[in-house]
Amino acid sequence: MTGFGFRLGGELALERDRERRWIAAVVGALAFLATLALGLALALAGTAGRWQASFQGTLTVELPAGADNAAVLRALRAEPAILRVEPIDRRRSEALLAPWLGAGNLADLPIPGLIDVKLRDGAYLDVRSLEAKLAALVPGAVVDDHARWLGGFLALARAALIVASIVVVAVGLAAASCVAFATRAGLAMHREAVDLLHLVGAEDGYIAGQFAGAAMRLAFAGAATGALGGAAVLALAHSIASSSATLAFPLPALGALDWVALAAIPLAATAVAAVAAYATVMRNLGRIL
Amino acid sequence: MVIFQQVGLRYGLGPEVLRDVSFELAPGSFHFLTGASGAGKSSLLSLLYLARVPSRGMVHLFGRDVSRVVRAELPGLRRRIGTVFQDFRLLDHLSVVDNVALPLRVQGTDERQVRDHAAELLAWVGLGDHLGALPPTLSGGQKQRVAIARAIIGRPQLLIADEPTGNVDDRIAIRLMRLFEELNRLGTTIVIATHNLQLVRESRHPELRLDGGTLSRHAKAA
Repeated sequence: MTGFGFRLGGELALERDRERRWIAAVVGALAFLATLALGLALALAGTAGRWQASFQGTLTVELPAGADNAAVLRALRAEPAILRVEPIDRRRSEALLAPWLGAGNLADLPIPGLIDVKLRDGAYLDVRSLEAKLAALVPGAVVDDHARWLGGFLALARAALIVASIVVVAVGLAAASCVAFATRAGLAMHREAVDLLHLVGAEDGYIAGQFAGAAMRLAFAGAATGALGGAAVLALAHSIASSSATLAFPLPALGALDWVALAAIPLAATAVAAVAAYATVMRNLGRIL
Repeated sequence: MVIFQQVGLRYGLGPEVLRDVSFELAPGSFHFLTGASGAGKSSLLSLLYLARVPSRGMVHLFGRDVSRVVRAELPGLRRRIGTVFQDFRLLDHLSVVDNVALPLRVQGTDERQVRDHAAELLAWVGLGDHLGALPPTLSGGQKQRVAIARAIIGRPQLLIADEPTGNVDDRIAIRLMRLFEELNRLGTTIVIATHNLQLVRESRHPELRLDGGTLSRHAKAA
């Protein structure tokens, strides 16, 4: 068939059907949900990625409160894989705890001694062996390579992305189903005109193109509005959360590529609508002469 | 051009509306199809313009057995047929010129050529000053002429007309018949279904008469 082509106008004048305009509303609502789901997941994944990068090649040594760190510092500096060792003084430790415990409540609190350790690029260090060595010098010394909590956070981010992907696919299928339903109704409503087009020599693709064009236009209008609404909600949520000075947890923020991915949602919805309408018409026309 | 052999047609599980219809139309011939209301004229025409396939028997059009034609080939065959429907089947939301242009548009003909040709044809059928009019604003006779212009714009090899003079006065009817005669002289095979027996009698063309779904007479020209 050579009649393939999505037409925005046409003899069927589908754009005049008030009954089909709910396609825009439904696709808009679905695009709104998809934007929120994908936006949150991308923000979470982006934050996890940034944290992973910032903690790459670093360790934190934790000593019991009041323990002497001199021997531990010497042992750490003797390790060839370690580039830099930086003890965190009590004032900085208090500053780190202040958001959770309040600035005025820390004076009498036994705060563990902390040491920041930076590894050389590409160097390998057996963390458990180092921890055993340090514990021999200061009983209770712990080496934290951040793997445990960061691993959990990365797993959470991955799970969020998977869930968001499932949501986006489900939303796409729902949009395709709505468009297919509306297209079947449109075919029934325009049956006489469709028959006429056939009788004057129109190919199925010519007719399907008109339905696809009309579905595209409606879906794009709805999806663009829905995605813009979703993006506005994401931006507003980030803005409100960022303005709260008491939050200690870093706020997920969307990067430029994330916004590009979100911008693809209305385009994808438009494509899904067009393909669903086209395929529905071709399948249904195949059943009549 | 057209061969019907023992053709039968029924709608769903209903009785046969055409039974054992057999005839042959030579290229460039001109035939009238007559019969009382309900005799099966419209059903027979629907087989001719490929809106249906026979329930039994064989229909050959342009050398092809239509029962064996694959779907993708149908548009090509239909473009060789022009049809004037009894109820016109004009699209009310399209202007007169756009209605006439339809067969060329679906073929992807160049748009300027489409509009020029449609306007020229409308002028020829006396509607040159109604190009932008919508069908609901036209009289029955004007709609009839628009339908005829649409049927012939693609220069069909086979022209089928269902009661083409039923909605026009005698003057227009004579003019339309002259138009069909002219097209026939240019080589178009023509089948006209009509109740107007006077029209048939005054013509030198043969008549296919349907009676209760069977072809009862196949008269030759005198």
